[in-house]
This record gives sequence, C-alpha cells and structure tokens, in this order.
Amino acid sequence: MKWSLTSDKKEWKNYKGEVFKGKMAKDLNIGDQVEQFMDDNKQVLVEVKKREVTEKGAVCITLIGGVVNG
Amino acid sequence: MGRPQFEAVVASAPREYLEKVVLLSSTPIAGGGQFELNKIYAPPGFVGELVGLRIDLPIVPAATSGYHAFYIGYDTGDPQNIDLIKGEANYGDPVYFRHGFVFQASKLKYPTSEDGAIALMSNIKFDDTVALSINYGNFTDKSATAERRIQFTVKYRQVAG
Repeated sequence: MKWSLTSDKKEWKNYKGEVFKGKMAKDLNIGDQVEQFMDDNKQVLVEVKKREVTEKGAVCITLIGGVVNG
Repeated sequence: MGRPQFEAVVASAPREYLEKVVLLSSTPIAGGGQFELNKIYAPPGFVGELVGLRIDLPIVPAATSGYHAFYIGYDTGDPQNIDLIKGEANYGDPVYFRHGFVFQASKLKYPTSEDGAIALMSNIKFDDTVALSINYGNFTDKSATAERRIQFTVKYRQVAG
C-alpha cells in the first residue's frame, strides 16, 4: 500500500482515498510505501523492509528509500 | 453497622528493565542519498532511554567520492527528523561509535567529542508514539553493501497513566 502526503500536508492517503490515521511508522506493514514532497519539491519515497517486535514489546521498523526526483 | 472494610493498597514501584537491540543490515543502500531508516517505539506505557550504543559502518566498497553517515534523533513523521547526534565520514573511511571510547567520523561529528555525545545521549528518550530514529545515509557514488551494525541498550521505565 502506498501512502502519499496530501497537498495541504495534513494527512496521508492511499490510492483509494483512505486516510492513514495515526500516522506512525509502526502502523505500517512490510511493503508499504510512503511518499511526500519536501519543501524544496523533492519527492521522497521510502518503503518498509522490516518490522520486528522485540522480546520486551518494542517495535522496530526499518524503511529504505530516498529522493526519487529533483 | 459493620466495621468499614479497608483494602491494603501497596504502592508498587514503576517497572524498569533493560533490553539489548542489535540491528544488522547488508541491504544495499544506493549512493546519491538513499537512506536506511530505523524507528524504534517503546512498549506501550513505557519510556525508553538510550544507555549504551555501538555503531559500525564500514567503508562503502569502490566508492570514489562523497560521504556516508549516521543520524540519531527523533522521528517527526517527516523525512527531516530532529537529529541530535550525527557522524559523517568521507567515502574511504568507516564510521564508528563505541559508547564512551570511540567516535570516529572523518567529515563531521556532532557533538564533537565522545563525552559530549554520551552526555547528549542521556537526554534521548522515546515512547510508543515518538520513536527513536537511528538512520544511515549514503551520499557516495556507490552502493553501501557491507554489513552495518547498530547495537544499543535501552532502559525502559514504566510511566503513570
């Protein structure tokens, strides 16, 4: 699932128009992508590669990506 | 009228415990500004505090220009985090952070000393909504393919409410 920051930068939506409530990385799943435009209009795209829960219940999310244009 | 019944209330001390986390990654990180972002959330009801840290970032194989780096701070939900500790090394150099002993980063270190970094680290706290962010960035001209190690010890303290 790909989530994009809306033009007013107030929320993320997917291609179906569903809003990503909570907006925390730990709520993403492996394969989910997040894209947004930075203030200088560079487009950043990152994808969740790992999601692990430790023995004590901490959640570790690893995303990989970077600027894709600009 | 019966005697009032009282139930003993034993105040329990907030729970505290330690956990070691090791993040190993050989996933190729492309040059030119690709990142590997690690976000760590404490268990619900707990605040985490970094009490030990080790970072090993080998040189980027075959790189001929640029630099690579680690950044530690808070995840704000944006690509631009609040970075508190950073170490940047030129393309032919590794980056090492060994808690209290070594802080090796040939291009830029912030803070500039091991002691300064340890002092700053003691103020880094995170919970289940504001994540600790430990990121690797590759700004060289080649992919970073050697294994990267990020190892840290966290003290979790139970909070009220």
